[in-house]
Amino acid sequence: MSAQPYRLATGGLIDRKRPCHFRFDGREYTGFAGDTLASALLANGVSLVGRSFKYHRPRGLLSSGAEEPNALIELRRGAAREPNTRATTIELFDGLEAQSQNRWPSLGFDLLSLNRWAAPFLGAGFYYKTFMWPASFWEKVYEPLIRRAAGLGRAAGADDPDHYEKSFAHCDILVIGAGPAGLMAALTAGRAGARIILANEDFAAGGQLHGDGGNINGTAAAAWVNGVIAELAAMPHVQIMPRTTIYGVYDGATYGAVERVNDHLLSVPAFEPRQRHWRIHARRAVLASGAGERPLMFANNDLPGIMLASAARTYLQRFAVKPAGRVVIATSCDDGWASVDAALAAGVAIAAIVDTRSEVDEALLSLGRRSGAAIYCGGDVVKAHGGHRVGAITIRNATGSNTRHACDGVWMSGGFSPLIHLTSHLGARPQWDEQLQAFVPGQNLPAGLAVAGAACGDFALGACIAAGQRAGIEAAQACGFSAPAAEPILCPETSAAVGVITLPRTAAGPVFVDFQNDVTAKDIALAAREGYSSPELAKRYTTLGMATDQGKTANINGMALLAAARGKSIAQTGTTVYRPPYTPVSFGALAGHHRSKDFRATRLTPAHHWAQEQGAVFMEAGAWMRAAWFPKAGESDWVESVIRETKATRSSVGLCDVSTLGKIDIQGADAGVFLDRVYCNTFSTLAVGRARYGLMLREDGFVMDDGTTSRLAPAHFLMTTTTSNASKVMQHLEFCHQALWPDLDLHMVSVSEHWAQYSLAGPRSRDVLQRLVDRQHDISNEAFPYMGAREITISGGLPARLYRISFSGELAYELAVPARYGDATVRALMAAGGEFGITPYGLETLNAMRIEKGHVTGSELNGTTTARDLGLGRMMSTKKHYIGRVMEERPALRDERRWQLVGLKPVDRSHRLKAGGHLVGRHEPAVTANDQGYVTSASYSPMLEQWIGLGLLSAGDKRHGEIIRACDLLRQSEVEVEVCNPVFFDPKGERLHG
Amino acid sequence: MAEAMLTKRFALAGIMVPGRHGKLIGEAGVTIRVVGDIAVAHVSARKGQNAALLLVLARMVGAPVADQPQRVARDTLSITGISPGQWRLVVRGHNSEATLRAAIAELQESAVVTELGDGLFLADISGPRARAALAKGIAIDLHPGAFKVGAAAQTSASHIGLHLALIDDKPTFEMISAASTAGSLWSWLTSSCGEYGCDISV
Repeated sequence: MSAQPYRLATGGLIDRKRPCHFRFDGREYTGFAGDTLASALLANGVSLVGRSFKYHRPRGLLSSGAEEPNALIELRRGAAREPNTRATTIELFDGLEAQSQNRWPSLGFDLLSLNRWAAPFLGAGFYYKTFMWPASFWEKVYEPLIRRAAGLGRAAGADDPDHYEKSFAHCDILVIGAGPAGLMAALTAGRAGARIILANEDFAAGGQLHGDGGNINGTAAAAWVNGVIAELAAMPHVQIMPRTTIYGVYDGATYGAVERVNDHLLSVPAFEPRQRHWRIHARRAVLASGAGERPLMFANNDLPGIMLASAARTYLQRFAVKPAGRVVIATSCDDGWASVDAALAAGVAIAAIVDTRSEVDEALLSLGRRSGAAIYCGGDVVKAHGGHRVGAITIRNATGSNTRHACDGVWMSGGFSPLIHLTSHLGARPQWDEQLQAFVPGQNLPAGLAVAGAACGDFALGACIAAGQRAGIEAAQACGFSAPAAEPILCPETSAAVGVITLPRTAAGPVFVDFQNDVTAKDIALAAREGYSSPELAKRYTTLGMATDQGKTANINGMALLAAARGKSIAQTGTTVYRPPYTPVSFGALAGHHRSKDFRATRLTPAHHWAQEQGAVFMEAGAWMRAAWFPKAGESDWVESVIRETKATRSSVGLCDVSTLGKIDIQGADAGVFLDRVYCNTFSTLAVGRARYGLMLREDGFVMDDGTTSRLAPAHFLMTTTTSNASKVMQHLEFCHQALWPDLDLHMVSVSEHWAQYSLAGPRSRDVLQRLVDRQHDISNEAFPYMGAREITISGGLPARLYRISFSGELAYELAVPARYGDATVRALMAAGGEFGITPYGLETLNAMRIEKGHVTGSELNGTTTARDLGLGRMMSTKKHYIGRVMEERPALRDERRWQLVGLKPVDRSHRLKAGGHLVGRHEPAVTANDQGYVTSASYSPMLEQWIGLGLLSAGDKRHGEIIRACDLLRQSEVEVEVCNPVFFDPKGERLHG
Repeated sequence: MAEAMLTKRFALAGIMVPGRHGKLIGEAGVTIRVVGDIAVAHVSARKGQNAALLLVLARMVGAPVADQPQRVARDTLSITGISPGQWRLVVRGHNSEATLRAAIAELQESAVVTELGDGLFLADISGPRARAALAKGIAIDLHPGAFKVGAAAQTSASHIGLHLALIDDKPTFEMISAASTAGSLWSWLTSSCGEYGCDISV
C-alpha cells in the first residue's frame, strides 16, 4: 500500500486520524477524510488520470473543482457504476473504487493514443467531411466505429440499485455558493431574519479561502469560515445545504438543485436517497459562484503536471498535497504570483516564473527573486515537453530567445473569469468587461437574482466580502426585512486576478483550448476560415464548450481566438449563452421516486384484489389497471378466453367491472337545461327513473364523448362518461357552467371514485340480481324495463343504484354500490350467480361483444368523427341549440364522401383482421392516394366464429356488400373484406329486452 | 334477498401494515394514522344561499366558517373550504355515517350535498419531520409561517391530486386523496418518510 509520498507533513483540512483506503484502476491507495479523489491520487503520486476524448492523449488534473475537464472517471462498480464523474469533486470515502475510462487496454498504455498521430487529419469538421458516402454506411459502419473510438465512460447497463428522490423548498433568499461573498450574504440576511437556503457545491464551505488563506477581521480565514457557518447553523430559519449544486434557473424564480446526499459514502444508508433533486422557489437569490481560472495557451499545454495555479494552491493548502517538486509558474496576472509563497512554504522548488506582461509590480518581482527562480517578464511559454508527465518547458523571453527549464509541474494562470452561467439561463447575454478582461453578468438577469463577489468581478477578498454583505442587505430588504447597515470588514486586499488573455504566438505543437473535447487553437482558426465564425456556430463545428464541463475552462480562450481570427475584439464577437445544467445531473435525480412500478400513479378499482385472485390479466387504460381477460387452465391465448367468456355471457350471465367509467353528479333546478346544451340530444324531457344514451359534441361539431345519463330525481342527474374522457368531460362541463352559463342553478361534482359499478350481462343477469336486491325493489321486466334507472338497496339495506343499460347487446344491468362495498359486492354477485355459471369477463370480451353489436368506443370516438360518420346523426336534435350544432352543419362535415362507420368481415373466414389496416379498393394498389379509410377496431367474434371489425370508410354507409382490401403495411398483412352493416349480431336488438 | 350483510374494504387494505417503518433507530420522525371510518360529503351552496349556509356550517362546528380554503373542526366533524361556495364535510369515527346524515339533513335548504366518502382515503401525518417528508412531493410552502394551523389547500404529490390541511402545530396534516390511487400515493408517502422512521397506525 502506498504511503502518500506527496502528502505534506502538516496542514490541510483533512482528518489524518481517518484514513480512507481506495482503489483506482485496481491499485490500492490511501487518503484521508476531507480529501477529494483527485487530491488523494496526487498525494499518492498519481498524476495520469485519464485519456482525452479524441486523441487519447494522457491527461492529468487541470483543476481542483467542478470545472475539471480531464479527470473524468467511472465511480463505483457493477450496477452502481457512474461514468464521467469528476475526480476533483468526488469526496473520498473508505472503500471507494474508481477506474479511468476511454482507454484500452490500460491508462498507461492506450492503443487508441495512435489517434494523436493522425491528429493533423482529425481536425474540426473531419467527420462531417469524411464520412459522407455511401449513406448506407452512416448507421451501420461509421457511427458504430466512431462511437467505439471516441466517447467517455460506460453506463452501468443495469438498474441503478440506489434510491433517489425529489423535494420542494421555499425561501426568502437563496444564496448560491459558500465562498466569502456567499457566506457574508447569507450571514447578513440571516441576521435580518430572512429564510435562507445556503447551497454550496463543495462539501466544505469557504471556497477559494481554503486555497489562498488570509486573514479576515483579525481571524484566520478558515476560523472565520467556521465561525460564520456556526452562526448560520444556529439560526432556525437558515438551511445550509452542502454538496448541493444549483444547476439551473427557471421561470417563476425557481431554481433546480441536486443534493448529493450520500455520494460521499460507500453505500447509501437504508431508506436514504443517494441524491435528492430540489426545486427551490426563492423570492430573491444571490449568486456567489466565484470565478474560474483560465489556462494559458501554449504547445502541449495539456500534459499531466500542468495545472491551474489556484488549483495547485488548493491542493497545497486545503489538502496538504504537493502536486509537484519543481515547477514553472506561468501567469498573465498578479494572482499567479500568489503561488510563489505557497510553493516555497511546501518545499516546492520554482524553476522559473514567466509573466506575459512586460510590466510587473516590483513587490511581486522581489518575491520572485527571493524564490531563486528565473524570472521572465514579457515572455511566454512556447512548449511543454514530456510524455505521461511534463518534464521540461521552453520559455521565450521578451527578446525572443528560448530557454528550456526542467520541471515536473507548471502552474498557470491566465486570469479569472466570473462564473456567470446561471445568469444566462433565462436568456441574458454576458457582456464583455474590457477592464476585467472577462465576461460579466449582462442585462436582464433572471428576476430576483443578484450577483455578488468574484462572480461579479470583485476578485479582491475585501471587495468580495463587502459585495456579499451588500447583496445580503439588499435581498433582505427586498423581502421586507430590516437589515442592519453594512459593517466594515477588515481584511488585506489579496492580489488582483485580472489577467491578460495571451494568444499563442508559435505553433510548436498542439495548443489545447478545450481539453475535454480535444479542441485546439488550430480548430478554432479552421472554423473561422470555413465560415463558422459566430460563437454559436464555432461551438457546434468544433465542439468547443460542449460535454460535461460546458467549457468552463475553455470558452474564454476559444472566444479570444475566434475574435482574433476574425480581426475583431472579443466584445464585438461576444460569446455563447449558457444553458442548464451548470454541471451534469443524473437521470436518477430527475426521476426520483418515479421509476419502475412508481413511474406513474396507477388507479385500482375496488374489485382489483378480487380480480387478481381470479387470475385476471391486467392492461393499462390510462392510469387504470383493468382486467383484460380471466384465463382458465388450458387456455393458450386471450382469444380462447374471449370465446369462453363471450359464450358464457351470451348464453347465461357474465360480470364485468365497469367502475372506471366517469360519473358526474349533476344537481340543480337548471340541470336539465344544462344537459340539453351540452348533449346533442334532449335530456330535459327524460323521466325520473329513466336513463338515456347521450352524445356530446365539441364546439367544432365533432363528437367529444358518449355515455348514459340517468334522472334520479327532478333536479338530480347522474352522467356517465367513457373511462378515458372522464376528466376531460368534467373539465368541459365546469367550463361550460363557469364561463358560458354562470347563471344556471347547477351543481356538479365527480363521483367516479365513490361508486363501484358492475355490469351483469346475459339472459340470466336478472336472476342473479334478484338474489341480491332487497325484496321491496321490483326489478321484473315490467317494473324495471330497458333503460330504467333507480336507487335501490341490496343485501339488507346497502344503498345502491341500478341501471338497465347494455353495451353487450344482452339483457344487462349496471349495479353501482359505494366503493368501499365494491369488493364485497362483486364477491356476492359471483356467489349469487354460481348456479348460473356466472363468468367474469374483461376488456377483450367487452370489446368483442361491442364490436359484434356495432357499438362505438374510443377507437371510433377519436376526435375525427361526427355523429353522422358514426351513424348517430338522428340523435342530433333540430329543436334546440347545443354545443357543436352550428359547426356540425358545415358542408364539409356533411359531405357524403366522409369516412363513415361500417362493419368489415374477411371474405375468407379463416383470415384475421387487424385494427389499423387501411382500406383500399379491391384491385387498387395500397398507396396513400387510394386510401379510403381504415379499420378502427377488430376482434374475433365468438358468435360469428370469425374475425370481424369496425372501420371508417369513405361513403361507407352506401357500400355495404362491396369487397375491398384492408392493408396493414406496418405488419405486412392484407385481407379482402366485405363491407357490411356494423351491427353483426342480433340486429333487431331483441336480446336487450330479455 | 341478500344472504348476508356486505362488509367494507378500505382503500389500503392489503397494502398498509401498521407498525414501525423505515429507519428503526430513535423516535419516529413521522407518524401516519390512517383513518378508515370516514363519511364525507361535498357541500355546494344553493344559488343565493351562501350566507345562510355559512351560518348553518358555523353552528355545526361552533366557530365561524369562511368561504375560504380553511379547515374548522369540532369533535369528529370538520368543514374545509375547497373552492368558492363549496366545502367538504368530513366525519371521523364509528358513527361517522349517521353523524353525516344528520348534518346533511340540516343543510338541505341551503346546499346541494353529495356523498363522496367511499371514494376517498384519509390520513393524518404528524411529527417533527412531517414537513420534510411531505415536501418530497408537495409543491406548496409548508413552513409554519406560510401554511398556518387551519390552512387548507388542493395540491398534489407524486402526480396524484390531494387535499391537505394543517390541523395543529405538532404539526399534524390531514391528507385526503382518491381511493383508486391510494396505493401509489402510499408508496410515495412511506418512501418519503422512510429516512426519518415512521410509525403507522389505524
